[in-house]
Amino acid sequence: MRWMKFEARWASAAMEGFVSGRGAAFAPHPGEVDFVHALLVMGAASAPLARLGLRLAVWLAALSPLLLDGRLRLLSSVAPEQRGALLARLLVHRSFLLRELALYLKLATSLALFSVATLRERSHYLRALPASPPAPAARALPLVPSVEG
Amino acid sequence: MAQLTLEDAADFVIVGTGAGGATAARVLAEAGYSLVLLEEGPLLTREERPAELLDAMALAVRDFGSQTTSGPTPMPLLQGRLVGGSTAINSGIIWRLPEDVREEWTRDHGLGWLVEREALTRIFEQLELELEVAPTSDEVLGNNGHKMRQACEALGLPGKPITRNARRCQGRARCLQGCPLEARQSMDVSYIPRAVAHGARLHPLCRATRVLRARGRAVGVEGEVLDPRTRRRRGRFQVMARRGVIVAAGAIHTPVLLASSGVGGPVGDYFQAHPGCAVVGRFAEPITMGFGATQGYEVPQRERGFKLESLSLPPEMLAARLPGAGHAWQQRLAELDHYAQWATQVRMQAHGRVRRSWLGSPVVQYEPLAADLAKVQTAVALLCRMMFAAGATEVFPGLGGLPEALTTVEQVRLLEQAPLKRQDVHLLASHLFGTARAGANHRTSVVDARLECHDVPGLYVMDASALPTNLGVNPQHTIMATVWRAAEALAERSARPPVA
Repeated sequence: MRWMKFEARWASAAMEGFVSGRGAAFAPHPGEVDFVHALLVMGAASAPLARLGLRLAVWLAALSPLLLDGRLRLLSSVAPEQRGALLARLLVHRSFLLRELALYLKLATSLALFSVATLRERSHYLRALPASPPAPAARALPLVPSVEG
Repeated sequence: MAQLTLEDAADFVIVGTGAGGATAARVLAEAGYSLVLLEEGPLLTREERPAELLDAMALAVRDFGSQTTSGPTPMPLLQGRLVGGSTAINSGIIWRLPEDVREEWTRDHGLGWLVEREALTRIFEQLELELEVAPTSDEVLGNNGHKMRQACEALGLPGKPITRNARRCQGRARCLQGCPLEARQSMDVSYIPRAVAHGARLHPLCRATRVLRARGRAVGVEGEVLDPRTRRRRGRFQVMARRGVIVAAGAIHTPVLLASSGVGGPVGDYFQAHPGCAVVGRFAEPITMGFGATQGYEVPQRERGFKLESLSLPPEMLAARLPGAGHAWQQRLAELDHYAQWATQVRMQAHGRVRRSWLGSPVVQYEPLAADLAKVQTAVALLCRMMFAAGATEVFPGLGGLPEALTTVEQVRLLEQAPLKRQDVHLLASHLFGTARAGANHRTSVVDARLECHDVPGLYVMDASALPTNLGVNPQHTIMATVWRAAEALAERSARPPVA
């Protein structure tokens, strides 16, 4: 799945928009997350219709100021604290299609965010994890006379 | 790159290495037959299983979870695509075939031999012994499961620890990415290695496209060898079968392969599923879904048409499930250890169809009925009440047209005031059935009680496609038991092979 340069910029801006706003302990640092990489991985592994959906989701988010408020602006040119509000409105939009596309982009954002070890740590997902015994030795897997070569 | 050509031959060729294909391999290999196992996905060793969901899904889940039903409200249909099939990425939940379903299949579908009570009991016991089946222990139930138990005690519901094929579970909560300890006895760590140890040859990254026939009988399989990195076609294979071809590619891809091979009858009809959705609750105290059995506690409600289960999510999925965006969402992401999630699986009455598109890919037409949505609504409302009973401070029902967060149990009534609309609920299905169903009647079934195709001698369907209806419980154990029964009979009636 190829993304045009402007689409990659739109995608980054939209996905950053989900975590925009200052002051939260979780906030990713600039450059800490490679959002476009997550889109590329998802796109490469997804069904053709889902790839189209991913692209539509990026366009939808980028054009959300126009779609929701009639403002001739892109999401990336809106103040960071307002981006999250626009995306939140898309997530509860009355149209099933728009809601689903926005949720799809939010899922891509989550996958990108939690690919980063420091952000997993800042989420405290594993805080208070009981100590577990070490993993037992891996059992020998079958020798696979496969299609190598 | 040079085109790769693979040729092989064996007594039986098995397409698919999930619960059905691997069980057939287990039985036939140990009966002394030579086998070739074909799997579209890769073989992932323990070391190759990523903890991060982005990479784990790209490697192991068909189409990254984007395989859906068609129509205006698509429903994701989750299936594993790797050696072990969906058993490699599920929670290993074990339920024997419910007696009412067994009676229905005997009475209405002529499957008395396949599901004969004593035979199935013997097979279930053998499977449970070999696959280390046991109820989830308190030590690895995790707070997500403990909270569900607390809710059941408060509301008088019949909850119980889930029985799984994971007696040595240490509660790493990574079933959905593939158990990092190989404690869960998915097919890739149990029956596939066992069959290989008995001489079966496993070919991953081989996508079957057609069953070959000679004089009307199934004699082999041909298809494409896939590149491990790009999954694009890298060559072709042809595997000949001296005694039979067993198709076990799952309820979506089995009918497509049968249709591509010219098999007639109601191929792809009678599709059924257990769609479901989930409710998330926030608790003042830490829950830490990162520890405990991914699914450790359940509340069977078969008489009402659904089942409730604790379902711990990896952080990626949990984050996407929490409401909002921007600052509010970030605040929630900074305390992911405070959330619990419980899901419902609904035994829907709706039937759908799986067809092969002109591109060769499956098209799944399926829409829940109003009665099915009513069950979803009842189940979600009950889950919300349970969350509050367990002490949740906020509950996220995940339904459109409702507040994103409920803060009092009285608000649950909002959920019950009007019928639930399809577009207001995010449904997802992973238990799929019936697209090459077994039965005595040639017009309404594709295979007979011994799972052999009515139309094509030597062609067998041994997966959830052959189950004539959905079950209302997790299907893995029933798939394995019915396949075991049919494979045992197949081994018995095929001429005994010479000992190598």
